[in-house]
Amino acid sequence: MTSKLATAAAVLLLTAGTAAAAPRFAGTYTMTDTEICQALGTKAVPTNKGMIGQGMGVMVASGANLTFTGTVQSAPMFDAGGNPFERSSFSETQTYRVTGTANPYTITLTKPNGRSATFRVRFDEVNAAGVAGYATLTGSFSNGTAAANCVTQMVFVSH
Amino acid sequence: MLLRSSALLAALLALPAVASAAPPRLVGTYTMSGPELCQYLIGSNTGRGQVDLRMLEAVFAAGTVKISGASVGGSLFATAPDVGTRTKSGTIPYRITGTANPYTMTLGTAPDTRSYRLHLSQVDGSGIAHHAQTLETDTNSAGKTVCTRALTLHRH
Repeated sequence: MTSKLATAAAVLLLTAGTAAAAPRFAGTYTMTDTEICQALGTKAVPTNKGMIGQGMGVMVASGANLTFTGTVQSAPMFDAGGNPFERSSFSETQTYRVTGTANPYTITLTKPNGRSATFRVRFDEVNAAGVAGYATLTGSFSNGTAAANCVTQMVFVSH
Repeated sequence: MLLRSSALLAALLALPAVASAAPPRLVGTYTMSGPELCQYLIGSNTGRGQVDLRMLEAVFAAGTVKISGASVGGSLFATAPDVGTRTKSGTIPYRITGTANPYTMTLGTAPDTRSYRLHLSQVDGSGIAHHAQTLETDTNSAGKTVCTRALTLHRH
């Protein structure tokens, strides 16, 4: 009987062991970001002029919190020359959750206002503690339209 | 005596602070890649919405950087396909200034210089940064910032 229990426990442990936890962020990362949003409408009646932008900064991971600080510069993709690139700073803490069992995982970022967005994420250079040294995040989102009209790619490199 | 000791202590305390304020260095060979995105200026010939992806090699040594490689790109809008590859090669003076991220990297010799915002990381015990990121804008002939350019540098 004892032997059967021990076997069952071993099987449970083995099962738990095979369901490896997803990698995580920890510490400080250099962060870069490229975003491109489609221009929509017609030439005669544009509904928006699209957007191109790039960002650079630092992401500090602490538990489930990711704090982003840095600089972003963006401008309309189409413009008559009156709206050149503007540079602004950002600082925001979001929470994150990773699901999946292998690359690419799914990451959900939730802003302080409760709005969340889901992206694909690839974790590389994962150490024995499950902390990623390099990560690439890719996905689409909407900047106000009903459907997604923007794409983004972010790269995180651990310090 | 007390004053002298205080002055000596202050000097000793200040020394490490000055030493640690020196920016990390870029030394050796780095792969340099990244996109450049430019606005399409409506009703103007000064911008056609250029998109370029760069893959370069940068060798840093004694105040100069030798850059070689190529970029591939084309116009966002064109009457005929114009995607192509452009090779780049040259050696240019550079310096890094600042006390913390983002540092400033200045390329060229005055008055023909260009400044980049520079983020340095993965700094080893010798003060060499193994990873760097730049972000800058570019202007057209009218002085408008019509392009954004980011480059990632990774040491071999």
